[in-house]
Amino acid sequence: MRNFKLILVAFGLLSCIEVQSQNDTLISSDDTLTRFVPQFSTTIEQLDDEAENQDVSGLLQSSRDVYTSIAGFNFGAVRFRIRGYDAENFTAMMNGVPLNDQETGRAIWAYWGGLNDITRYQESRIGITSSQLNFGGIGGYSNIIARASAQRKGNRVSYAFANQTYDHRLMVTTSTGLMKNNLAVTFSGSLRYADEGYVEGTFFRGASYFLSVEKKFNEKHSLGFVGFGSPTVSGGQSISVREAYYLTGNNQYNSYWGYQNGEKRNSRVRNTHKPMMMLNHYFKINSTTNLNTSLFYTFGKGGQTRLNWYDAADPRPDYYRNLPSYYYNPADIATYELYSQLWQTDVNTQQLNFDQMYFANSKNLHSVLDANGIKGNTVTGNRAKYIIEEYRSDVQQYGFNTTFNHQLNDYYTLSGGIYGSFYKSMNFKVLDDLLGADYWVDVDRFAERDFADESAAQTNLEIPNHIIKKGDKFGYDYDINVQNLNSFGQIEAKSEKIDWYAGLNFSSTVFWRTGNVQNGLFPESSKGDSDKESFINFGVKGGATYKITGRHLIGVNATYFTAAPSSRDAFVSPRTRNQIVDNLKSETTTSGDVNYMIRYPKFKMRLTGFYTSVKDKTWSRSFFHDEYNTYVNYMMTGVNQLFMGTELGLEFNISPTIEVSTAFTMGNYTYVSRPKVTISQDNSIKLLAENKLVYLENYKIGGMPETAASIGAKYNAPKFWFAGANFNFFMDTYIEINPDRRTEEALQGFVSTDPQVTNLLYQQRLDDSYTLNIFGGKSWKIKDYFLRINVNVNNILDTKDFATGGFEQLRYDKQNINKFPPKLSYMYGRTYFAMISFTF
Amino acid sequence: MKNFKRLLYLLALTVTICGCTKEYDAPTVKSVPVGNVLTIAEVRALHVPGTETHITQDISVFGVVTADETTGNIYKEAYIQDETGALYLRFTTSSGVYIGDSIRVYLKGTKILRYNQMLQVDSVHPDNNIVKVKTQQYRTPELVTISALNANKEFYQGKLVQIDGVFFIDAGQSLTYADGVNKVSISRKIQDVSTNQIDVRTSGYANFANDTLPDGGGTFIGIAGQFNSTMQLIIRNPNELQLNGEKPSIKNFQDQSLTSGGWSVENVSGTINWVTSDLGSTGNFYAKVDNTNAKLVGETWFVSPALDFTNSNSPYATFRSATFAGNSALQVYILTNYSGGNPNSGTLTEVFPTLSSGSWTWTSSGNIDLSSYKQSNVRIAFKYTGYSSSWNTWELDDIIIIP
Repeated sequence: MRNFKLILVAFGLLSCIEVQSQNDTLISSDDTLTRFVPQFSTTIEQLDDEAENQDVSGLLQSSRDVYTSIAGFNFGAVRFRIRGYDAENFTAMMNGVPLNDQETGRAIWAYWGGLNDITRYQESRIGITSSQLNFGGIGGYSNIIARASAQRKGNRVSYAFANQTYDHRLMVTTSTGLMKNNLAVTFSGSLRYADEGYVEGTFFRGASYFLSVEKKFNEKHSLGFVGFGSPTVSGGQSISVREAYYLTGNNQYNSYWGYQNGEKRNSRVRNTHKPMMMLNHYFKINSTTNLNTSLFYTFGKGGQTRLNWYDAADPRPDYYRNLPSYYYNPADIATYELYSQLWQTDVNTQQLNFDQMYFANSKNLHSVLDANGIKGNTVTGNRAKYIIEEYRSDVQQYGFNTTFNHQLNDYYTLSGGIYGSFYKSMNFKVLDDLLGADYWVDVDRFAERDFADESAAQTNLEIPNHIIKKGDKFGYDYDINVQNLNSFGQIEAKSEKIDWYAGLNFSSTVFWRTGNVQNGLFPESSKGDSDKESFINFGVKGGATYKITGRHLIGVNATYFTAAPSSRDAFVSPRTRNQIVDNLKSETTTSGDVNYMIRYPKFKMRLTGFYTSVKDKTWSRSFFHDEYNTYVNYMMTGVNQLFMGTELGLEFNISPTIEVSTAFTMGNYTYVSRPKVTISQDNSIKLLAENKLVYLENYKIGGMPETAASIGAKYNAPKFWFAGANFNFFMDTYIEINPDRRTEEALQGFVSTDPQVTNLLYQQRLDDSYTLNIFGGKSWKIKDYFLRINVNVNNILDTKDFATGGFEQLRYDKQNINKFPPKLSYMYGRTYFAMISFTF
Repeated sequence: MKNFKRLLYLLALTVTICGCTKEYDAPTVKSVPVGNVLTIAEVRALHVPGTETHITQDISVFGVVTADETTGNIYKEAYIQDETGALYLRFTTSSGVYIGDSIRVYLKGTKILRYNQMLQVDSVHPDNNIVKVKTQQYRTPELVTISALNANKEFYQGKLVQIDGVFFIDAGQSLTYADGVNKVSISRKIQDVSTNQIDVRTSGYANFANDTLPDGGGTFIGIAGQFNSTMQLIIRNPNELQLNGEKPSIKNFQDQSLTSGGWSVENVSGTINWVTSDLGSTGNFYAKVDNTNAKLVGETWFVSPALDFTNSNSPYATFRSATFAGNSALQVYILTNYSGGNPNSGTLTEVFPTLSSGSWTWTSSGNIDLSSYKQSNVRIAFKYTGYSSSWNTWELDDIIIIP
């Protein structure tokens, strides 16, 4: 009991941490009991500045499936995605409560980063499967078992030493098990730290806490509480163009940092803390029937900083006008050479120059007339030319989840459940650092230039010429509300020859925007509630496994469902107005797979063929358009995708000590429709194009290898040590394309033999790549204590020139495609992770 | 176990400390050297004709910003002025200086050159070369005429000027300042009462490029520029143009018509006539009221069209007159509340311009100040009274109305 008090004290302290959180997620790391592979991997979304990214490797690694776990451990380095699916197709849960973000649909692993001692206890299944917890998607699911009574009793302390996202990690976990007073308590906490991560200019400061308490009232009822959070602050890594990598000779070149007063400063700091709490009621109605009900609440802050500027030059070193190639002119090679040389020798050209920004801010005396909307109020002082602002996306979500299962007889099990959630994200900007200036004025510099009417530039008409100081909200301020109700029912049957299941799903999704400020550009449609978009969706799934013998099995799974579009894609420009994308509709997924499995004690195999068609996706992006010299909103509807391929996983125990495993996949992930796009000016309701046809058909979705193979061997020594290696090979990685380059308008004025046509239409395929990873470990038993050491070295050959992904910039010059070349990311060189753990 | 508890405490403590943002020290900010302080005229004199003169010494010049980029009519440019002249600055990026900013330009690293005869300081870095000293030091535009600008191009280069009594000659045809759709710059001419013309050059990127030219006369304020051998004007902000009033007009009787342009003759009593004539100045016609022979008794008026000075700044009128010997037969009035017919039906206020004192000497009236008549339906009325005792003849010409 004293222990428990202590833990409560600790928890209390931890929850006092200034709540800090984030918008985008971090590259997270994960390990499991015996093997560890860090995740460098992220989806392409992380690379794109605005988008939220996520990583599913954590989900894959705990899978018992041979193929999946190999993929989870070894394919992460190249942004591999199982079956080509985006992260929204995987459901992450804790105690059965879905954790996927309500806006993006994605599970964001970083929200519980650093709690590996807890999250390693997952129940995971990949693909279309039966599930007693919810309907699931095509990707599969993973359920973290956070129930205190289910945690292994004991204490564990571990320290890890690495050279990736973080350099040091200290983790402590204690579980009481079910004590005599029918109480079980688990606490886990960790610290992760890097002064500078693998990538120059990045840093990492993370803390995590987890508390689970469970009281067993009687054989039927148990009540549990789970609370966790992971406040994390970290510096980001950019994705850049080949020229920048070439000039610096560093494929991990990071344009986000620069020197301030001799110290490296990162302009993109992610600051997240989105704690979650849940109450779980475990009700064992009888020996064959369970009813588990949870109430949950999540809140917290998400922040992502970045530079902004006014009346000043773009300070980003790899902005195209700051790169030597912008000055390339055969008639004046000297300028080009000067810039090239500066880029190679002057760190303040190569990187951001914070000292110069402070300098610029130090003497920009300016008077704002009628400041804060008060007539005659003149504010004079140094107006900021450069600031660091924080994009905030704070959340508040509560809801319930209840699941029921009943074993009808020896053959049939029925299950069902309802999930309801009320979600609100609060999106706004906060001034993070004035960089020495006295104030910032809350006006839209693009609108200010485009419109003679001065009120158009006001981001908040109620406080015109708003003087902004550190910590003030500005820029935009809106909420996204999502209400979701989701129910499912399932029947499973088991017999000697055939196992089968069938499931059904109904859901309702309503979302809307609430504007909190009246914007000068859209005075009529910026403040207040938007129309409420509501969607009713349903799904069916089913599958069967035929046991030819106990060792040879054939399985088929199929599903058909519709899903509401993501609220992220639904608004034309949520920062300024309530306008909703025209022709918004639910997307439809049809998917099936066929599996052949062999299960011998010494030989296991799975061979799968899969087919998935996703129709009517909506794709919205906003980007700076050079021609219009303003931000545009690009809204594509009717995007159809096809995912087809095979997977093979093999595990073979050559001897009691030697185990060989292999995984192989080959897929074809393509666009199969010609979507229509509507382009509007971000500044006005003016449409720049309407229902323009995009010739996207047969282009690769890209961003991940379509073909990947891994072969590995592991030696398990009888004297409690092991060692192994994996060789991995990746090919057919295409970069993500810019749809606008595949339109008639883009090709207008060219004839088919013009080189511009090929340049515009060509989709770049990245070179094949490979990695060699090794790992080893040893454990000792000292009385009742266990001491374990694990070491992993990834990419031991230290090859640094494998591009792992990339995307075409949305901004393009059709005459000179190289003006805005694709942005590419490269694989880390050699990285290691070494951990010592002590269990008692 | 006890140690483990301590560890937990320690962990809790470290977490509280660690889970926070990184703080950075503000750097010591460098200052821009001053060096030798020159006047704008001295800086202009630094330019070696026919060359790009690179400034390599520590030199500073002070000036007040008279034009900025706010409306987009100029881009990466600014104009500054002191008592000795004006300078056209071209920046490497957006300048961030505003009208009224008193700035110091540190010239080292810049170059001075002439582009199509316009002297400019080029390659000015907004951060490294500019220090703002004070704000809201607004400069009053210098009142000039088009002919004065053309007569002294170098002197006026880059200066903030005001020209009264001008109008856009292309106004009234729905033409715009520039082509804001295709982002093409356009020159539009303004004209003064003496039919002198000058280009007003507007960028297609100006946020008012697609605004219709104002159809009216009044005051133009802008920057004087030079393009090769001609002078041109650049609008800072169309809001400061007051070209919505009466257009300047001149009644010079060259068309040998008394009533053209809306003028009228109102004969109140008697039969005294107004005529046009070029007697004594062949080819240069004027208006004449002649009572030489008959010594008729009567009252006759020569009345201007209704003028609208509602939007005028400082309206005035001038004319020339001539008579044989000083007399008071001619009187000048401002006529309001008038709707035609006998001018005595309106409100008459006599004004007293300089009139000819005789010998047929053409005498300029001087400015008849109309600034207390900023309203519509204002007329200038010339009243002639015929007496049986004398035969006073009056001649009138070049009746100019500057709204």
